[in-house]
Amino acid sequence: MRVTEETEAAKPSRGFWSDAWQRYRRRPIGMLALCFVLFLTSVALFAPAIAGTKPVVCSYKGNLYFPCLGYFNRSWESPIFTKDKFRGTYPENLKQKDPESWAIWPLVFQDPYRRVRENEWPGRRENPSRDEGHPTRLNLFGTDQYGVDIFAKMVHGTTIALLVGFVSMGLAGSIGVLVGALGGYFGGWVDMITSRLTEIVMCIPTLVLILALIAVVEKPTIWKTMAIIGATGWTGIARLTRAEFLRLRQTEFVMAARATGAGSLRIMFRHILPNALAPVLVPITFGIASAILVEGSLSFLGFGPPPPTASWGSVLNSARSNLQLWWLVVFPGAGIFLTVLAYNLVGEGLQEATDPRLREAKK
Amino acid sequence: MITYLLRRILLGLVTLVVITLMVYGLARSMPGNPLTVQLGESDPSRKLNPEDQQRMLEIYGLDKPWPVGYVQWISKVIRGDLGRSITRKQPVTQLIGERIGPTVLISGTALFLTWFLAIPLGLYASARGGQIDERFTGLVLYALYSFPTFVAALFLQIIFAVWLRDTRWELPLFGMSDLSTDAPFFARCIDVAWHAILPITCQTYVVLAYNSRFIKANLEEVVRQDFIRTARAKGAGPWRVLVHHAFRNTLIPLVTLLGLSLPALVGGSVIIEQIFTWPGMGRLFFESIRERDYPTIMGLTLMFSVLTLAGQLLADLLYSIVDPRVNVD
Amino acid sequence: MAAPLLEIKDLVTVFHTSKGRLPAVDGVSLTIERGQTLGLVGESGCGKSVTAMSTLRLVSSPGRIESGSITFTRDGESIDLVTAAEKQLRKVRGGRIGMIFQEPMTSLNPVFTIGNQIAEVVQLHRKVSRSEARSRALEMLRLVRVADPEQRLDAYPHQLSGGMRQRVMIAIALACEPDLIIADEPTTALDVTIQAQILELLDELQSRLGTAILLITHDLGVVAETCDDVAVMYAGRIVEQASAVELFSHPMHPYTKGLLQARPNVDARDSGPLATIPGMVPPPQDFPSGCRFHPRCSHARKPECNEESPSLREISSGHFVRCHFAEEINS
Repeated sequence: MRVTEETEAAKPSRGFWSDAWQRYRRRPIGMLALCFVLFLTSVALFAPAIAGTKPVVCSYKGNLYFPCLGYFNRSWESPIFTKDKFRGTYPENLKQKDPESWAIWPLVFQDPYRRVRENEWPGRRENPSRDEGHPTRLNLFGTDQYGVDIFAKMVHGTTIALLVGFVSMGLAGSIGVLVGALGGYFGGWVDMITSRLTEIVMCIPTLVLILALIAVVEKPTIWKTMAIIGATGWTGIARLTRAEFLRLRQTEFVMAARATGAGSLRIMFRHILPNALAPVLVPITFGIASAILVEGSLSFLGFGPPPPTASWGSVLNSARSNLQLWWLVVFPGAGIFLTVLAYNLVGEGLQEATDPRLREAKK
Repeated sequence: MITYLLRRILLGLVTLVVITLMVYGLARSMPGNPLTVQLGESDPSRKLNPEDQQRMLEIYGLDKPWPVGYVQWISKVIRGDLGRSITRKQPVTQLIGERIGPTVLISGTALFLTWFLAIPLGLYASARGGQIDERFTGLVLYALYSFPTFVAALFLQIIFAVWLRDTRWELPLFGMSDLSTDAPFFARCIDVAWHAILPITCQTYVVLAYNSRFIKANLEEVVRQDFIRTARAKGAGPWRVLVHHAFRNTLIPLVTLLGLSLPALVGGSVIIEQIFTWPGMGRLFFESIRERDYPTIMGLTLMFSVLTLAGQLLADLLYSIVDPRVNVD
Repeated sequence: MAAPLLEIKDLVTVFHTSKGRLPAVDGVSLTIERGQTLGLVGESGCGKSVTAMSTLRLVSSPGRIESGSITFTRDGESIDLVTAAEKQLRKVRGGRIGMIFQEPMTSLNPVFTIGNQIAEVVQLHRKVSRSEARSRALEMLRLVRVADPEQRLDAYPHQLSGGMRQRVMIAIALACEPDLIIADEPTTALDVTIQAQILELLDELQSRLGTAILLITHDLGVVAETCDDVAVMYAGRIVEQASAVELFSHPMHPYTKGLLQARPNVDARDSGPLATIPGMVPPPQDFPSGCRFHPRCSHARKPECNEESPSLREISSGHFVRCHFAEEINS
């Protein structure tokens, strides 16, 4: 048993990952979590087609348009609609300005950024607000105090949550791997500096550092928030990468690479990094969960990206002063919780599937 | 031993200087200053005229570039003076002294509860490893671990302060005490305890879930070691194997965790104190950043960093006590 | 005739894994008489360690004893260790049967002193005070000839060498004067010179205390020096069993012969290159049909050897062999 395990650990090839996948697949909870993450990803990708007030596809004056893309980026919405003074209300304007037009609408006609007005959709009344905003058939998750639909906010917030997770951890992962790899591979004074740097960043309470940085960048956008979360969340990854590099630089295959005259950079990133990837991937997955959590707390404290960005945390923030509107807490709360849980479970599954020690025990 | 301590302390001092320098630079780079932020927010008509503002800035030494300000600050710190809060007109040490009690009340109780519950839970979980009841508690703990504090706090507030309003289960929504300071001491204690229940619950559950899982994971790791087999071969019962042989070995990572929780004990939680408007250190930190109250930000940063470094040192020292293989020299 | 000290009958220990049910030990029977030394020999992975662990029911999940009996007899009282209650079993473990493991480096608890760990086993099995247990520990350290026993008592395992630690393990195993010691590759992890010392010590203590030993090893040299009887194991089964003298002079199973030939012989300098047995011990999921040794056996014949599993037959008095053609090969 031990022999096979060592050879596996020494040189993870494609076999290593397909092995890990085999082991991962055997865990029903991990698979469930992975499915949930995939589900969230598709919600995030198709958010404007799930909830919105702009057609997914429409034919207008003889041309095909995709106005719903405007939810991702304003400039992706054809300027013709601005020129023709649609002002964001499509159903009425389409029919009025081009009786020939047709459109495919999102599954739920609700907008994450504004209240849907009376008769905006033919025959439908205005969104309720405040205490009347209970979840109903039209407003699946209810509405907030201004009458904005929570379901639409949640769906569009998924995009934000996943982006936050990936972008900030992508950044944190790059910084962490780079710092850890330099320290672990070169050792000596390089290690001294990188280790100190890591320690210093660890000593400053994360939330305080983030709050201060957000204050410094002045007008926070969601991208700046992601950058800040990423720039403060790399320490754990750096320490782990350093440990892995310290261990791996002593191994035979690295010696062999060095003997063939490979340069330091090549050894670090072509030879060592692929082998250190599995243990480093685990904290990155956990990091995605915590980045989503941090963004949630920031928005909750009112330090998140400014409106109209629809983030789950900002819905919770509006619940703070409206505690009797329980649906403002339950749905976004459940959203954050389930997403964080899913990423944690995926991380744990990944850990057990790739950790040789845990693997041996599960045999 | 002495040389080791000296070296660690010296290294810690260098780290402290770098940290405070970074935070000071960061704080001074935040837009606005204590005078504009505070007065401008409360009442635009009361904005200082430029001459007054300049005069005030000179009084607080904020007219000079920030590196000069930092040198002034640190030379005062060396003389044991943390300065005066600009927005609160109080010495920073006094401010901290006022806020530290409420924070320790919450985080101290939470820390105690956490360890008091996490150790039996961890032992139970690894003794019953794989059984149906253990899997269930494991899942619950895992869910708790992923449950965001601010969501939990809102849920608890909805349940205990809104839904259970006017029942005997109603709990106060926020604040630390509703009674005036001349109420009887005992009644005030009860009142504060009543107010503390929700914040303590929020601060306990995440750490509890994390710690018991940590203990369980470490126990499982230790239980696979050869010396556990030796203990069983000696005729030791399962309980003795777990508690005497295995748990004693998991103490090694546990003391590290304990040392690292030292700063949180005094630093408090920004989010929890903010939600429950608890007058503690976390809230003070939050407010001082918002108010650009540089001396308070720096005082808190210094305290927090000192505690973090002290916690790490403590962890390493405890480490050498519980693990005979480790020698700090 | 009195019942033997330990009688293992048809022991089957399986591991339930993702690869299915793996019988690491598949119908092993062994008998150890009081004061005797039985050697259990085989290559790594043949199931000898699992047999040893099964004896004290120390096999941990996913391994499980599926069937068979292990009868331990003392003062005319027999108990079956396979079915015995946990509490009864614990009295046997460490008290009546001591165990020595292969890895002295990791088999001692790193956070307790040596003295503590020896005293523990005494306190677990005898009603003694702490100081009595401690003096017993000191006595044991003297017995296993640890230098400076008084100081070593308060030493931690990491302060001792491998050989020293193995002596401590022996002290723990012998502290309660057990009737049997199971030594699972006690010398494998040690230097050659230390190996000899440890074996000598075991041998001497055995003759002094009259303890029986089940010695598990892959080293035939060790067996030749110390054992009265020998059982050779291959792929979860015993393939040959005889007295040491008989086995070394008249090995009958092709596998045993191969093992003996694979041993370097110092006396015959010009005996040519060492003979080897081609191939490796198959892991339990790949056990071949019929005789499990047939893919590596030079005498194997079809269809008998790969279809029919041979039984363990008594070829001559006290000499058991599991081979269809034992007589033919050896005539």
